[in-house]
Amino acid sequence: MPERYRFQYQERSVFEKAIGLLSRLRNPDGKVVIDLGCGYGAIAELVRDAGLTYLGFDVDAAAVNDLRARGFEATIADLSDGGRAATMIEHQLGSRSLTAIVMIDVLEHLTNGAEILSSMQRLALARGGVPLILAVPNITHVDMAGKLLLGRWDVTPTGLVDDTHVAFFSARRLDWVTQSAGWVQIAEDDFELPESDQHFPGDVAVLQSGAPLRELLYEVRDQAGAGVIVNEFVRAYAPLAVPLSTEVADPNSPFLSVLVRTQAARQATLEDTLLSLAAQTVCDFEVIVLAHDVPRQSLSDLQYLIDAFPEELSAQTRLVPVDGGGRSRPLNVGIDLARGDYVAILDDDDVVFAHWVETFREMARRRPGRVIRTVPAEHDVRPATWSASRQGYEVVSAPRCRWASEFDLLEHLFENQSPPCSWAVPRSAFRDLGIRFDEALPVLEDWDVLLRAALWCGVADVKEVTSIWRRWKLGDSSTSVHTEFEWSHARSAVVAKLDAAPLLLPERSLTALHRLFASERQAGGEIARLRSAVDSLKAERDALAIRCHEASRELEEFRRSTSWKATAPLRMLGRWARRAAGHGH
Amino acid sequence: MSNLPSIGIQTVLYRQGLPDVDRLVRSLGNAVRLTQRIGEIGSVSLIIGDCSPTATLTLEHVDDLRRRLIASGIHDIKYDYFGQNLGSAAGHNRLLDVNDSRYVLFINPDAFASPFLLSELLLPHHDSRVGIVEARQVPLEHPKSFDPHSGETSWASTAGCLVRREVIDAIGGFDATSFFLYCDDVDFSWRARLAGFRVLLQPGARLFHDKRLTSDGMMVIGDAEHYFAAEAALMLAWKYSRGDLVDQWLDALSRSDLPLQVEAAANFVRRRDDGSLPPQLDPQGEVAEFHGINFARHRFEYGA
Repeated sequence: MPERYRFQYQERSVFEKAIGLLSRLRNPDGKVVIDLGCGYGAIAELVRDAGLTYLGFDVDAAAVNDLRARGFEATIADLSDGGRAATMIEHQLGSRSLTAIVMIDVLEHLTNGAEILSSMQRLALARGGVPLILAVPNITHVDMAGKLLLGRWDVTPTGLVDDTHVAFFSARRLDWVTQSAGWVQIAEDDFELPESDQHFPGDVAVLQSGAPLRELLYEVRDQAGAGVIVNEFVRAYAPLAVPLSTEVADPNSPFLSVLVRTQAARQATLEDTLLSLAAQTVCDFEVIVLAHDVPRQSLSDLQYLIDAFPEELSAQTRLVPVDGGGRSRPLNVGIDLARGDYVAILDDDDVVFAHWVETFREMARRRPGRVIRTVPAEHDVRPATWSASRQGYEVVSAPRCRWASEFDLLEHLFENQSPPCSWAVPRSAFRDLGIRFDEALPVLEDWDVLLRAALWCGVADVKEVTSIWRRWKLGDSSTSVHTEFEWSHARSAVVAKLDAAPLLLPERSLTALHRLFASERQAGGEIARLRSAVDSLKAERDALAIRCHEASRELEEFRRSTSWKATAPLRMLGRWARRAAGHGH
Repeated sequence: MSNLPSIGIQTVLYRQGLPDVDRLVRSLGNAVRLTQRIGEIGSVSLIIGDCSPTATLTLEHVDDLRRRLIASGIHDIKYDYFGQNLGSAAGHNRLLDVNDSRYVLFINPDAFASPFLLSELLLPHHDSRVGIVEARQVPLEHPKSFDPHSGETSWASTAGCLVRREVIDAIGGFDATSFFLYCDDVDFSWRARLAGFRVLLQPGARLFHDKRLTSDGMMVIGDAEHYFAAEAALMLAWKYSRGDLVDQWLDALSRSDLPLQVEAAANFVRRRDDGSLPPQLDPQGEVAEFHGINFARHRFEYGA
């Protein structure tokens, strides 16, 4: 083994984290720690100091000899021959009690890692279910994402892209490999490095904190899943007698998952909602009814209602109780359960047209991966009492299409123009990009998700009205239940979150911004012109007021003058003469 | 023999596709199954008339429907391909000739019945004075007003309504001579009311009616509607003794920008001239309501 792998134990290192997990999770009844692929055994002294027995295995004779020279038990073992290595390990261990198995920076060097993990799982099970402590480099560190964007693959003597690595791991890949071998993760203490060994060259924007490109990349990578700055995954696993099933693609997954959020307070409208779903022209969807903080008796009523619909709907509908949290909680629960390619949301007072699902599906085929937005319509409703004192409602207006018929991102950034029933989001936006409904928001959670998905996935417009959103003129609704302060606060929170990272605007946004700025300037110019005109008029008014005041004063002085008083009888005669002449006509 | 009420469901197709028929039938089978399970109805039959240019269903389709529906409790299914476009009024009359159930459910072929449609429509019929009970349409309600509590309304749409046999016995079927496509149900309702029956809308009885909106919120209508709606409105005003409205509307329609409306006005005048208009009813205006060009007070207007 080259000298480059002669690592010393250091604090705040992968070794420290591995030892931490070992100390915490080892089988207390065992004594021996197997260090598989031990190299020069950086943790050997730590193990011995803990009163345990160190047993190292490595293919490199120099490393093994070095360990032996330091007084440790070490054996040459070629892990590329899994069966033979396992036999050798069993033999060396003999009847001694095992406390843990450690594999630090090993798996990435093996082409038969799965085989080794499986044989170690069998050993661990046979020896009292001891844990496995594993450390492997994270190839999905944000630095690697940046390098790949630049078309760079910089192989180095050690580190994330070591020239001897033959296997590469993301968190998901590691989960899959370990689960397939019969291990279940029980703890993690990943080793993070904001700047990995791949953080070069230092002058490229994609690697430099604060540069918009880097910030955007970081935001996307961070939201997409754990591990944005994880240099090495350091994790502990327990062997399972019955392996967990690994995630496989569901060939029967529907096109659309419809999340219906209800508090079971609007049975009348919910029945309309379900009826409109049952009447869809295509059945390629599932429904997840999310009963939020609903009492048990009402759950039975909901289940009865669902079961009453034809099998095409009822068999595809799941009733899921959700307790606690705000408006976002049930939606996040629904997302986790959704199996469709796309996810759409209905509240229990929304109603959809027969081609709602079909329209989404057609556009998804033409422009896959985009948010699909249809033209929203709304009408006014109010609570009403139906016969037999049943709580119902009444439609009191015709449908209106007051929102923009085309999706305009800039307009949406300012104000939401699309109620949730009018759009569907690819599930990958949640699954792969990590978008979630923000549970800290009391309202506007839909606006937040729509903007995030639209910014990153883009939007495909369909100029069809496919749903109706209901505006309650009386009674409880999100508008009436939440205070003006909550709306205003939520709006600020959504804006602040988007402001925290660069925005990825779609094509033609610059033209739209030019138009906005031009109209703002024009409006500004017009305002200035009008202000100036107002100022002139005010000045004119003031001047006239002064003139008027002076004239009044002069008139008063004149009236008080002696000549004016002396000629009073003459003025009276003149008035009489004029009056007499007028009567003559 | 069961004392439970029998129901004869009838619908008239015109250019619907098989998926539409399948969707309707599926919903009806489900509603019948539920309502029979709770013991509210007896035997149920389904009669499908077809005005389409070519037959929508083959014998195999009908057999397939029959097999599926028997499991739901619909004991009989009949299919009558008319071979011509009779219109809804004449089409339904033809089906009424073979429908002898205690209640008749008229339903549009582009509809989808809610699971509780039948039980909800039957509820008000416990009052024997009730002749017709109409379902509430989803997602676009008909704008005509109704009393939310009693359900009282001017007329009932045959897009989905349940009619007591006695009504048909008393007034016959639809006036197919006067009405081809529209207002046959308004006329039917008003004649029922003249015969002493109540006409109600039951808001709990839901019927999904596959209507669509344009992107500016207007109801999507076909060209034919311009003609038949104009013709039907003139006919209704005439039949219910509103000569003043006939004159007003003829004047407006004959000057319309839409050729089909001009044609409707001309055809009406021709019939009036040759004496083929129906006899006039309700001279005192006891049941007929004319509010502008509506036949009931409306809560709102589509496209307004």
